[in-house]
Amino acid sequence: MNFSPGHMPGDNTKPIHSPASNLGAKNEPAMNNSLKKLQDEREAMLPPELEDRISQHVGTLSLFSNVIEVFVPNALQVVVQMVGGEELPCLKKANRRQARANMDWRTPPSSTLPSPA
Amino acid sequence: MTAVATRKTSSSAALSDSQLIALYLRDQDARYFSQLYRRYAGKVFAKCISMLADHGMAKDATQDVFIKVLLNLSKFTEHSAFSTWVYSITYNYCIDLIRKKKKNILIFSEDVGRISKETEIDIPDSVILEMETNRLDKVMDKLPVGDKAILNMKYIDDMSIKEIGDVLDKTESAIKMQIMRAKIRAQSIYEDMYGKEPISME
Repeated sequence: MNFSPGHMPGDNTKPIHSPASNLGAKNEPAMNNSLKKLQDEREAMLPPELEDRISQHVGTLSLFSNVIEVFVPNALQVVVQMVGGEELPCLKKANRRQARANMDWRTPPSSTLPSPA
Repeated sequence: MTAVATRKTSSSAALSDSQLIALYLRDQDARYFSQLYRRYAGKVFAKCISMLADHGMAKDATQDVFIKVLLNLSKFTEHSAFSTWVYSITYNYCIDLIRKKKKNILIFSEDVGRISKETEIDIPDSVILEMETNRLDKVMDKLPVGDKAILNMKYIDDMSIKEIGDVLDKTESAIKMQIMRAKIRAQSIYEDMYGKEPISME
């Protein structure tokens, strides 16, 4: 199995260039690569608890971004109204109702992204 | 884990890096980022240990690198492979960490100025690649952090000279010179430690 970067298992991106081009630069026979062996040994030392720590960070960031998405427009609206401004167009109930009425719920939104399933 | 979640995790294993990034940015589903983490965490951790020579620091650095990756994921452009981007964040993070920790430390061999012009000859790759791993580990520990980064990028990550230059913000000729000087330095450290014993164990 080829573990060179850019060609990970399950990764179909192109490798940067083939390792052979580095090792046998002058048509020399392929040699050992002690640096890669050393890296493989160190990879096995990865602490398993690190994944949980990073997952927690990902979860916190996701929650934080959701909170901002939900509350910031409303908080902004309150500030705008306090200083005597008009209601924000995106938060006007009539506009939201109209947007919902025009939406076709039967067809899924078109997306260029691949489906995970 | 529910059946849907299990199916999502197993199907995401077959996706490419670019697809996982696009799906994570669209759905903000942590499972897609976890998949990226599983692909690269080992390699990032190995690089951090190699650069920092400390297990605890390497653990914290790996965490910080992945948080940086997470926060900047939307800025990733596909001008290079995702792996190259992650590794460049890792190398620069470790170099900055060493710089902050030890203010007057030398980052590259060329800063030493001890290598004379006469020794600037072409050193074969076997000086590094065929060294016995325990000895190589000790030799690498004594190299300046920048030299370690350059050798790792060239011989482990198979990056081109241009890509290494982009990561370290240096010209291609400067990188070629630094690769050669790093090899010379590695050879001289080896000779200091093991005398004239042959490098290749075969």
